[in-house]
Amino acid sequence: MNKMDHKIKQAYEDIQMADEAKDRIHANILASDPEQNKGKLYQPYLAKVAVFVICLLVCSGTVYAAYHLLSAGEAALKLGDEKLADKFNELSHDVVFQQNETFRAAYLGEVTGKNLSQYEIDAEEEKTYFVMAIERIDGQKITYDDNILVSPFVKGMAPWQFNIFFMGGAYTGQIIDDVLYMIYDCGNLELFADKGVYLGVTDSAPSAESYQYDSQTGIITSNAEYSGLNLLFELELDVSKADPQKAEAYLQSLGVMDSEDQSMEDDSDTSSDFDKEAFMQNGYQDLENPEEMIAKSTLIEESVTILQENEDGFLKYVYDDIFAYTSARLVREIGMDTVTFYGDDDETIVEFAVIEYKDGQYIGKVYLCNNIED
Amino acid sequence: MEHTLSGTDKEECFTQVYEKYVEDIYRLCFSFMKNQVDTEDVVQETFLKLYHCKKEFETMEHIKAWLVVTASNHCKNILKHWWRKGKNIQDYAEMLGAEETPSDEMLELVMQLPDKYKTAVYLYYYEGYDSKQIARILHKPDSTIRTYLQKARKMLKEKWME
Repeated sequence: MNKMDHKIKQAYEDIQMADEAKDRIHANILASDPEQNKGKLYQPYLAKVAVFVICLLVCSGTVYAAYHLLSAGEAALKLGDEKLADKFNELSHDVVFQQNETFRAAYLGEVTGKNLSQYEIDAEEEKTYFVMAIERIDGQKITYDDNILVSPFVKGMAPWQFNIFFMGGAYTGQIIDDVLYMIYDCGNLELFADKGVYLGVTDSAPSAESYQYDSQTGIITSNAEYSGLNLLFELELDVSKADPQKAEAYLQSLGVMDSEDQSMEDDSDTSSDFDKEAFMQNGYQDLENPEEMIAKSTLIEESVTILQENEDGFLKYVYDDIFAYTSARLVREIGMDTVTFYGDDDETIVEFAVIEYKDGQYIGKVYLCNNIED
Repeated sequence: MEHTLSGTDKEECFTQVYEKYVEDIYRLCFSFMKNQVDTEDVVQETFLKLYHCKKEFETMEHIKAWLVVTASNHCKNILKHWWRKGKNIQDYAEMLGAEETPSDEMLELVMQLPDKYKTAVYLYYYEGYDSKQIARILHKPDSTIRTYLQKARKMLKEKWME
């Protein structure tokens, strides 16, 4: 073993698990077995009834007894953010529910301002924090593998044009008593209070498959045809806190064009509620010289997959942790589309996916970039 | 020892497995999650899955391979949300008063590797498996594992020499 190999092994050995954590996790797991814990398993629920029976409410969602849920403040505390918990506790929050046959989601509240969390890096940045509680109602237990995504949408902008990905969104989450509590933070949602703000709870990146967007009215709705999770909450934010000028500046800073402006410029297809045309014309096309990159990269043989065009004219390619979704027409016309993926420095291309049209077939494949090692 | 984690000695059997492997699984998960809190979450979820798993394991090595794959997949699933809060090792060093956080330069380089290389790197350098064994554990071709290891090693070497 040479010096570097020894250093790598030593690096792993240096990672030490705290004895307290080891014992705590062990105890938690054993306590999860009802056979081992008859008579004490439901005590925590009983203790919470008095606290949460007051959390009944309003709005567009269905109202249920919320006795078994933590409040937004309690969830923040459980997730280790005492400062944020205090902020939530200063406000009263309506709990609103939405559900499909598999999941029930509860919106526990939001808070907006500067320096709200003890983990805040930029004390001057205005942020909105919101808390969701999601549980399964199909008899299964929720797990992190359910891949739940919660995203704000703004009326007047299609969900795939403006969502949590654009807003510098982040979350922390934890499953407590079979409920997944998720605390998200993102840019200031109150700026858009006059337009209307939604929260989508979904199992995939926001798309025209999961949500419908009416470009005439700006209204967003769940797509009833979608087979997965696509719940939608409409938030009742304080309109007096809306700031159209700051909102516009914020959108510009993110490089996001308001779709109202976009529709004024684009009169080619006003009947469409999804700007497929723009995507059809542009795709990703991340690489300027794909042939050159392909020549000096290594094909991952097992990534080669024949793709099928879906009803909307798109191709979905998934390999390992790579996901690409592009226009079949674009691929036919140009011959290929490329999507790049970056390393932890967000600058170095580590690998890229190619979706090409060859001999009447659409083929997806992934290349490992050799140039990162040059 | 029975390896089904069922029956009357389930708790005792699980405890043996837990004590034997929890620290190794923690090390693997930490290289993905880069912080104590998230790592503990993944470790708990992984062993919880094992505890309630109906699968019959042939050997302890089989259990270990299952834990490695399950923990790695769980880490990757969580990290797919690339916009997730960037709590890194420095944040936790500050939060914890730098007492519990390893400050090793090589560890930081390992944590910077692309996620897809990390499990293979862990199994090769820490556990001492060869590429064929790793290929069997991760259900990937031997050539892929060798490519992963080669690229990871090159990246580590270049950064380490800087």
